[in-house]
Amino acid sequence: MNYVKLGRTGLKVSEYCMGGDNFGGQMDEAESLRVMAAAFDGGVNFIDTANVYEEGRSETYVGKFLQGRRYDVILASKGNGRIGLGPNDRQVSRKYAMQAIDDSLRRLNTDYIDLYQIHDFPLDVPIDEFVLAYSDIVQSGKARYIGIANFAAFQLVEALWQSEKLGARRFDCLQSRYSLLARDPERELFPVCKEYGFGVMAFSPRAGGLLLGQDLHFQAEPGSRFSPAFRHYQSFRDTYWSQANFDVVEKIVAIAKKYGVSMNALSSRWVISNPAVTACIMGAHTVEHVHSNLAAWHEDVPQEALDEATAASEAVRTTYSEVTSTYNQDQISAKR
Amino acid sequence: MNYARLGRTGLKVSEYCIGADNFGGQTDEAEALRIMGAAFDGGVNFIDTANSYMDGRSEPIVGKFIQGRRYDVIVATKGNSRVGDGPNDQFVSRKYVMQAIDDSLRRLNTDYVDLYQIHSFPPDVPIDEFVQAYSDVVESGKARYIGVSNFNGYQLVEALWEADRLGARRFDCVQPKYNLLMRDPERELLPVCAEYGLGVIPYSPQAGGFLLGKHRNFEAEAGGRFSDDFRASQWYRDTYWSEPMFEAMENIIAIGERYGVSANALALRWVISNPIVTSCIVGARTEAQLRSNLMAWEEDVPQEALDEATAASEAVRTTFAQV
Repeated sequence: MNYVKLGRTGLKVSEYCMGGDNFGGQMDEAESLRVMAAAFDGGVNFIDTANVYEEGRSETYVGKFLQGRRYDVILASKGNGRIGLGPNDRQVSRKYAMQAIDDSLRRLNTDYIDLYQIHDFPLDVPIDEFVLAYSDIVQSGKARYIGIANFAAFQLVEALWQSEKLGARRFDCLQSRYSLLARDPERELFPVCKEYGFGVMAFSPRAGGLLLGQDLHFQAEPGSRFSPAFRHYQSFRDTYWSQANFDVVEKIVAIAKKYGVSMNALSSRWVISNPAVTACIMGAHTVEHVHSNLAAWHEDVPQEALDEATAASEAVRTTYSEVTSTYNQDQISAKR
Repeated sequence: MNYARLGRTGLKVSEYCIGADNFGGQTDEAEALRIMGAAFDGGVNFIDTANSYMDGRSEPIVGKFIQGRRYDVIVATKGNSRVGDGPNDQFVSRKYVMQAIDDSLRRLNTDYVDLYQIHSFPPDVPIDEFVQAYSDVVESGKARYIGVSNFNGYQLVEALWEADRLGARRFDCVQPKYNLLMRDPERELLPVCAEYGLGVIPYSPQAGGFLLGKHRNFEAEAGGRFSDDFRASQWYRDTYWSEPMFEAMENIIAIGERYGVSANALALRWVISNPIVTSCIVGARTEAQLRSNLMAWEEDVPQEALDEATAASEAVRTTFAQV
């Protein structure tokens, strides 16, 4: 396992990051702990969770795993998602952020998080408010570093300039969806991250399993992220289920066969081999998955196979995700 | 003709802007003067040119037109493109800017431009250098306002914050390529403009004639922007010459026919009806084209036709230009 610096920071993380969004959902506590242990034994020191994952159960299970090895695990969590029905129960206002960090620390049974992130761009909070709130979380010792997820490039730049103006601690890491079927970050986000020395954590490197050759042609496999048993299956279907994507995956399957590599290896290597990417967030819902993911991680993937996969993905490279902004909500959608 | 504020500024410009990039090229001086005269008579007070258009021949023609009516014309021009073979003959370094603004003013035969723009993002110049240089162009009285063209959202934010940090004059306008077949600015750039109060003056609203149905089945109309005698024909082909683009174009043309509106009116109205858009830069090669553009501008276009065109364009909405 390689360990690399998270952007310009002094923190070193494993290139393989354990995604915790299924702990307490499709995985019970015992299986979650086995999954984390298997990853840790494989050299993985980086775990990503969030306050909203499985209503807090993900953090609780991660917290159990941490006991006795706290310093050796790089623990990432997030706030911003809806945590209740009240008007202040979503979006990182100062009030929410200060409550959310304490709630996460309690569930995680620790006194600090290594990387505390904003889960999405908060529409209803002024930038200076969340920049200062997250800065204060670092200064109070409750987090070592701060980051963002699912921001647009211009929102990232605004946040950085705001922290420079305020003399606040700055964000040092971006978490973004990135895979052969979601190459949008190459356009603006990766150039910005390079310019400002951000670490990049790529989530959904295998497009929820589609890039393993599963769930194609609108047929969800049991237990997959596209099956109704998964809480966010609809968003995975909306994002990836299209004939154009299925066509691309079939081409990539043929490339993997031609070079004798697994789809798992080809998809995840393709993501981590981009120099902009620091770590690749890999989910799992059984301990067997972790073992096969780690085996795939160490497969030899020839450069030619990566290049051919890149070329095959060009057909859907242009897919872009909507930016969360008041402009789009008020003006673009009102027009449609 | 409606006049709209250029973003948060106090300047009012006509919603129709004459694109002068063909003056001195496919359009000779006499025809160009007739075009500007007819547009001005139709209420258009806004002309957009650049130092590089037709190797500098566009600006002198615009300069002739503005004599005797200087204050009543809003003159926009740009710098950044290659103007010579030397190492400093491209990109808005301070050295380039100070020379380029003086050269443009000489060709335009005036002592100020209303809007001075950076033609595209200069990769080789630090942001604070071009921000200060453009600010100084305003402070010296050689430009009233400054803007950028072909920047993406985050580059614009960087320039705005840099100006804020330096106490410099800020950019108040962007000029992106924007039309039914090129909706990429909706993603990041237009939200940034809404947030910071910038004017938006899209170019290529008719996609170089592509949305007018002039080019069908991969056949370029003679004399148009896709034909070999147009200097940037390859650039137009790279953007629009593909099967999905032709398909979307045919669908949009059919919508216009169904509602009894011209393809021209549908394309132009779709752009200007976006509330963030201040003014639409429309080119014309001949006076006849200009007159048909102005007629199309005044046509009634039902909202349903615009909505259906929006839906038809979804198929190619995802096309993104590289940063």
